[in-house]
Amino acid sequence: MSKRYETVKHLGEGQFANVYLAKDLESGEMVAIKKIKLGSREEAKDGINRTAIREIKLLKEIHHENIITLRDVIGHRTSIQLVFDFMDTDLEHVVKDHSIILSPAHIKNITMQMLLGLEFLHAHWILHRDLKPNNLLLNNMGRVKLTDFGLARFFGSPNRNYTHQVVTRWYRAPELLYGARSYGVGIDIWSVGCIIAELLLRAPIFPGESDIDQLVKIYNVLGCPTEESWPTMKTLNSYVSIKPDSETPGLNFIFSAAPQDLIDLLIGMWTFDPVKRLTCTQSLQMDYFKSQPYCCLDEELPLPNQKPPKRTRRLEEDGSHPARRLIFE
Amino acid sequence: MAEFLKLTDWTWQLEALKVTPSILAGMNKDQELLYRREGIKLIAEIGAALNCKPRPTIGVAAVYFHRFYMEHSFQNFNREITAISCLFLAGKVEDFPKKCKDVCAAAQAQWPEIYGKYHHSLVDEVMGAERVLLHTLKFDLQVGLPYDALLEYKTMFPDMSREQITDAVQIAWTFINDSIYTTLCITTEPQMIAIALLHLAFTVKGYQPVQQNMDPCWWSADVSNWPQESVDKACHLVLDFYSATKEHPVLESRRLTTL
Amino acid sequence: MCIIWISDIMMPRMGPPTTARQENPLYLSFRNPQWPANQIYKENALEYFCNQANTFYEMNSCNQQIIMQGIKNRTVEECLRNMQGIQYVLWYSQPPLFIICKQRRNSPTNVSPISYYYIISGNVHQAPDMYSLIQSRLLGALEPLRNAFGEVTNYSRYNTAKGYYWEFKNKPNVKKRDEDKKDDEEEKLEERSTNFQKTRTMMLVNQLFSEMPADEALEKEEVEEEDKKPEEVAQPAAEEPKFAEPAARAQTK
Repeated sequence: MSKRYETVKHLGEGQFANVYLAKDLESGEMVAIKKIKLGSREEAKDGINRTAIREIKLLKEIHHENIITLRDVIGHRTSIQLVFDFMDTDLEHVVKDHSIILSPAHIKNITMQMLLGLEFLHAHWILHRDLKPNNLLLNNMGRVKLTDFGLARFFGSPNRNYTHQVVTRWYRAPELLYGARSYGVGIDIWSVGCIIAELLLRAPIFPGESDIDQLVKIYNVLGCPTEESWPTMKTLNSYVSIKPDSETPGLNFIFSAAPQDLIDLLIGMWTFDPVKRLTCTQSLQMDYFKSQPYCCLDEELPLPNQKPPKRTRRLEEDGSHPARRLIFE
Repeated sequence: MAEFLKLTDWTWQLEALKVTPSILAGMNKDQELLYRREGIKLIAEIGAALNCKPRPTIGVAAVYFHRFYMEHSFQNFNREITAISCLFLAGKVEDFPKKCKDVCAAAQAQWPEIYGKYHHSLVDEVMGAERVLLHTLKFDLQVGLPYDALLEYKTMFPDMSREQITDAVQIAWTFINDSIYTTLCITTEPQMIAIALLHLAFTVKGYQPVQQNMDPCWWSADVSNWPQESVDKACHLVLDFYSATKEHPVLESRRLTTL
Repeated sequence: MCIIWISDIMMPRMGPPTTARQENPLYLSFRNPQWPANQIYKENALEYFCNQANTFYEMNSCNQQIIMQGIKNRTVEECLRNMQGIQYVLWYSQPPLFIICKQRRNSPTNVSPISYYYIISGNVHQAPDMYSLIQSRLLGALEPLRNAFGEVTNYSRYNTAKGYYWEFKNKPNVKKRDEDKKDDEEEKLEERSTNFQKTRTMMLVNQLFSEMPADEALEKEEVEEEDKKPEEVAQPAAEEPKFAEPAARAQTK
């Protein structure tokens, strides 16, 4: 590690990198350092990993409160280290921690922060393509930041074909499941809708086990799209006709405690035809954000693993902390 | 290097071209320009063999190359290796990735006199060079090219006929393709390159972009404080390249120039 | 006097007009037909109440949020204590009666009750407020009373001979005629005036005597009466109610 950063501990390991908690000796702040593995000769045959390159390229260009900040890049002979703001936890941990109850004000705040970050990305012609709860980091001030731009890309060039194998399946928009080669901001919005649903239900709403099963689960909740609602559906590469297992009970039934304006937002985000789906800007202008209860403050967001003071001591003596989440895969 | 002569993160004043690392290490200006042209030629030809296009892969690779040699000298870093690593990196950055071994294979096939000597170690050389390149570039991988700005200007001249403007843009496009052989990308912003070369196109074809009584510097609304002389200077860089290589195209001997 | 008081209570504040009456929650009730009433216990009374079909239950309450988020590792009460907003808690239980309190929780230590609901044998009603309860009881007591008064007023009669009396439509009427006949016969035989007339006249005469003391004794009754009449008329200062002179001498018939 370089002289400016002092490693504190190892946080986790992923496919391409090791992540460490470190202290920035210049500013005194805690940072997360992602050390990109160069691996074996076999893996290294293509030089610095493509995903890492993409991430670096994009993150160096964008600066926004709700997007993870790449503070520094350190290139060594044998490794590259990316220095990020340290984020305490992520939405996946929040959702899974049942000692936390998310109030309507909390959910509104998280949704708003997500959309603000995403709006910025889309305005700069960047698709994230891999939004999911563990890519939404949360620090102890309640700030939500989008991260993991390994799959992100610039979009907008005509005649560019993109791969449809993006986005973890549960958060994948139907056009991707049908093999679309050309898509747009709608795929990120669909993912945001799935994440909001997960905040409400505390469980993934469409946990498909295969691409077909994913579509079935979607249709069971939203009903089947028709020629009218999605005219270009049948032109997609892998289109097949699918019938849902059962009648849809309706969003009001599933999200029983959710206010109607939030249901309206979800309907807009889960519109089948990508062209008719809400954009980030349109979403932020929906009545949901103007109605009561208003967003809570960032600092009011509940964080997981909040133990009362007298128990913290015992944990430290143990030496065991709850496993810190790996920030990047 | 020459920090005080920097205009932006990645552009330098013309003065800086007189004190590049290579010149400070003993080369003279014209020699350096030649070396630069040779490196770019390799990028352009190998890139074309791999189906890369001037926009964006080859264009971006060329920018990396020019920037690299504002920090390092040709004496220390072989241009033929740097060229491949620039092309390799640009492919990854612009989402047209080529496997390293494919790039090396294409290089050795097309330019055996240059790359033959590396045999199987070429891949390793390129990998090593990539890391240095990344470090030198400070990981600022996002590069803007003049083509985007040029396309915007297509609709900015209501006084010209559609055939004329389309023709001018086509010519300017070619000028931009060729401008990568020059140091234009490290002295001038991409939008300004587009303006200068479009202006050159108008001049070459004798088109009048604006009416007689209007300001001939039609770019004034977009770029302030850029007088005709400066635009002409930029154009000369490209014209100088044409004249320099007219008699003797770059790498016509299929070998690198040795000094 | 008594009648006016009742009308006061029963007039504008009597009750809402018919349409609003249907939305007044005091008139509504909820019942879940699929849940037998004898299977409601202290442990599940709240669950019985928290039903989407129950109009008293708000779907955006803290209780529903807990259900929607599937929080199972803690009791509902513990979760509610840490939330803010509308909540429902079991207030009291003595089967088959359960009381649910709807409250607004402002902090873990501060709640503001809003209303109470009681479950009796599976039927859920809203507990009324004191005002509605008293008003309802009063109405229940006073309405028949008022009706009675109204009805009875129709039967009162006045007769100069007899004074006020009741004339009911049925047998009492016949009775009266018999009594009258008797009276007539009796009067013809014995008296020239009824007890009522005698008493009234005596009272008036005494009143006059007290105001106008006699100086000399006059002859007979007729003279007395004749003299009295003009003098009475000539006493405008007197504030007694003037009695109807001819009527005073009228026959009871």
